[in-house]
Amino acid sequence: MRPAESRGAVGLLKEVEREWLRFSRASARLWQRALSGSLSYVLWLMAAILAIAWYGALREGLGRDMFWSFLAFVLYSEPLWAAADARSHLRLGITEQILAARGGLAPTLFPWLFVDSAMWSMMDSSVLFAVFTAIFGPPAAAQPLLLAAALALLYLFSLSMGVIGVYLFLSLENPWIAALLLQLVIPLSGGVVPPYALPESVARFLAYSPFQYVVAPLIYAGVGKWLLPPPFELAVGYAEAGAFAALALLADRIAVEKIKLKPS
Amino acid sequence: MRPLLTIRAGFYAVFRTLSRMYGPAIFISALPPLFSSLLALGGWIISGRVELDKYLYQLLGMSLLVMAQVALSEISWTLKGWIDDGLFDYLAASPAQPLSVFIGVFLAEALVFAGLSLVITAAVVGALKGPLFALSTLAAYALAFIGSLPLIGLGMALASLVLFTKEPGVVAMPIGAAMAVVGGVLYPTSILPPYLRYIAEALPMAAWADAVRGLALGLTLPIKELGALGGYALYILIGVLSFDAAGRVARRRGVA
Repeated sequence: MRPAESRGAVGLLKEVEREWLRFSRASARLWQRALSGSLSYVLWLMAAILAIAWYGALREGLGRDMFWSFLAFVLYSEPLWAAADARSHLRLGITEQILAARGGLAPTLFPWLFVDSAMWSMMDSSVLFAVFTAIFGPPAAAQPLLLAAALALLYLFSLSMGVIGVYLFLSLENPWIAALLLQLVIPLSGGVVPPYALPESVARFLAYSPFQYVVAPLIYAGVGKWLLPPPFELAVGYAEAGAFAALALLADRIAVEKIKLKPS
Repeated sequence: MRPLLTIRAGFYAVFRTLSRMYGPAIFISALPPLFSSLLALGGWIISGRVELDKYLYQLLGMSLLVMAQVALSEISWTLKGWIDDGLFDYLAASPAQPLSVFIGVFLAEALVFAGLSLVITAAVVGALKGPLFALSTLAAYALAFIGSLPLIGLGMALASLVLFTKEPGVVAMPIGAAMAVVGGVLYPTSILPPYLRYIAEALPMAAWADAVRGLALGLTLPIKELGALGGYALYILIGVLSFDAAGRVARRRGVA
């Protein structure tokens, strides 16, 4: 019996706990850097949003709604940054040790990316909330229950993309361009700028984007406007996120076989 | 020691290393036209209109933002490098005024990292508004170099913290990002809520950007903004005094 299979849900929680210990033991200097980086990130985002809003969005009262777009972007992008960071560690030679201890990489990578990205996302979204509140007033969710469902959906998709991203980045010498492309293409085609804020001709194309079903529901639930009926959007979204999670596990299998044949 | 000689020494100390960094210099120079185009694209998606004046405002603002980031954070990073390499002791022991040294550092960094983007911006402005405006943009950048002294003072005040924290980014990064929010380089400060406008008025960035923009895009010599920049010269004093005080404490404690 493989070790990962014997542990089940309790084992997964223990993995999460272990990753949390690794993360929380970071030095005070690292926490300072993290907080400063988080604050800078949000301030740059704010500058960008105000710069775009200057073209007219402020007049249409979209300012406060844009909080949800930025939240979706932060929640999607953090697992990918964590993946790029994990790739650096894996390339330093710990891949074989994880394989020997766990039998696969995915049982370690999911909790690893979950803890890292959850902590960074929490920091980023807290600062984002504070900054948006200071400028536009507090953003209140229009549909809190749907928001919770959309949040879990986006996070499952983002984590799966993170794991797939690790294997993609591992195969590249310089992963930053690929990371940047993944950071921009999927959110933009996924409705991070929601259709009701777009000219009709552009918004029409968004309905055909598969990523719209996983990225945009968080924004739709926050604002209270949906492109399609919420149960349909969420059902398709969860099926899609499940498919991406399966793809992540498949990528893990392929990568593990490759590493066994040719260790780094 | 003569200030010009010290500026030249600071310039040379940094320039000889930076002048070989063609890749990062070209990459950073490409950021202002790239990001201002992305902002214009975002603006078009949201409003359905292409507004040339706003595009030029942001293009010019982005290149000024690169210069401001150099003044605010690169001084700290250079200082950190000197501390790590044990060179800070020489600066501390020399009769050279740190302000002159850091002006030299700023000129070298700004020339390498912002120089090309300034030329690109002038070319774009010239292509869209006429050759006279290309010349006025170049003249405005000369004004920008002179008017950046208060920002260098602010950069020195931030650098004085590096003597204790050894972490240039911790303070410089958020301050640099905050300048993008309240600096009036990507949009007028008038769209900000009142309390953010007060912060913007307390900082030298918006008046500096207004003065440069007025000359580059409006062909007017911005006497009022230049007068305001004179008031912000207080930041030079703050920078010099805080760096001097921090340097003395650092030497006593043996930090530097």
